[in-house]
Amino acid sequence: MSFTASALVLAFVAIALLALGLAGLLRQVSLLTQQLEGGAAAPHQGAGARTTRELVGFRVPGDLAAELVDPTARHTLLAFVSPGCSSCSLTLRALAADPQVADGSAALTLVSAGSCAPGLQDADGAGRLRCLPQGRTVMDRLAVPATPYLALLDASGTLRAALLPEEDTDLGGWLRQADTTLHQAGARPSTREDSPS
Amino acid sequence: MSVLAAASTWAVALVLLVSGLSHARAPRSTRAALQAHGTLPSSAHRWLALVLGPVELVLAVGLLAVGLGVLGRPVVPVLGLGAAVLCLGFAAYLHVVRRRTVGQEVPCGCGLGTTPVTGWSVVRAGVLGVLALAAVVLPTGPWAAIPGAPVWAQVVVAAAGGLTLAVATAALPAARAVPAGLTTLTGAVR
Repeated sequence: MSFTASALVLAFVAIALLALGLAGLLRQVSLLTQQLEGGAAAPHQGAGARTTRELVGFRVPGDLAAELVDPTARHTLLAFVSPGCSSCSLTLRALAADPQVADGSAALTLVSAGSCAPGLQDADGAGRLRCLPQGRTVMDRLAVPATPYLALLDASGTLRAALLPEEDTDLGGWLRQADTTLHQAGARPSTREDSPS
Repeated sequence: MSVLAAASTWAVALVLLVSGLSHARAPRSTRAALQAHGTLPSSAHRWLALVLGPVELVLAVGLLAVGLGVLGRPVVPVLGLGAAVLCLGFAAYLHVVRRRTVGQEVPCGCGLGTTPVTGWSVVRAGVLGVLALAAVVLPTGPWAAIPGAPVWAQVVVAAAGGLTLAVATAALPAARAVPAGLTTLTGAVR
């Protein structure tokens, strides 16, 4: 190989490696800028988020994802509930009747502040149903402001939508809207994930 | 001596020099990282943490000499293959560690900063392994002037290229890693 050819190959390899590094650094700067622009609402260590909605777009920690995300479903709907809460029962019944939840394309994971029995009874009919009892710590970590509260996770454990349901909330409509958002997010690579594989 | 061979050799040598010094200075950190990886038997952690630094330093010094063209043919393949086996071994090991510690953040223990084990740590070790193989495959030996490129020009190009490759490769995981605090809810409290 001639001197010129060697120097060219060397330059190409070096430029490729430097470009990869620069792209990574730019992404870090972009994320940090987003956090700075978010001010106190940004979820970083120590500051904390005020509600789950401020955490949309962020990935739940691995240990939580293992407990909450159903890997076999397209996405997982988290329902934070408390035993003895009448609006929680209404919400769970409405969710269990939703076609997406009933056919199991959306897994339903209950996070109960106490025991699971009442919630599981209310959500009977859901295609994929699981429950995490004594979930106050999980609620605190996900900044759940009240019960009932709903959050939608995609298959990678990224929080895609959150909702504090009220009596007149159209849960089916919200699920369909969140599902559409999820499809759009799935069509383009997430800007908050980083892995060569 | 090929410019490409010299640059590749020097790049690997510089990275091994930095990681070797780091491992030799702080074998306890290496041992702690090996324990966090939980892949090798615990009886091997101590001696591996002690041996790794000196081995890397010996290879680094040898490869620097190879790039200068002062070492002959019998030694060059041994050093090149040694570095390649070490780097590709790291890549395979880190790949296993990464698969075993999914969802956790474990220190790399690579002696090149404090970034955790990611896919890019595996890529870095793999790139270094390939660069080390260049010393075996490409022509090495004393520098010789060629038309249009005196020895000093070839050495300058090789040194600049080697330094750039070393910095770009060593910094790759840190540059590509997004801190967990930016992408997860860890630490988010009510």
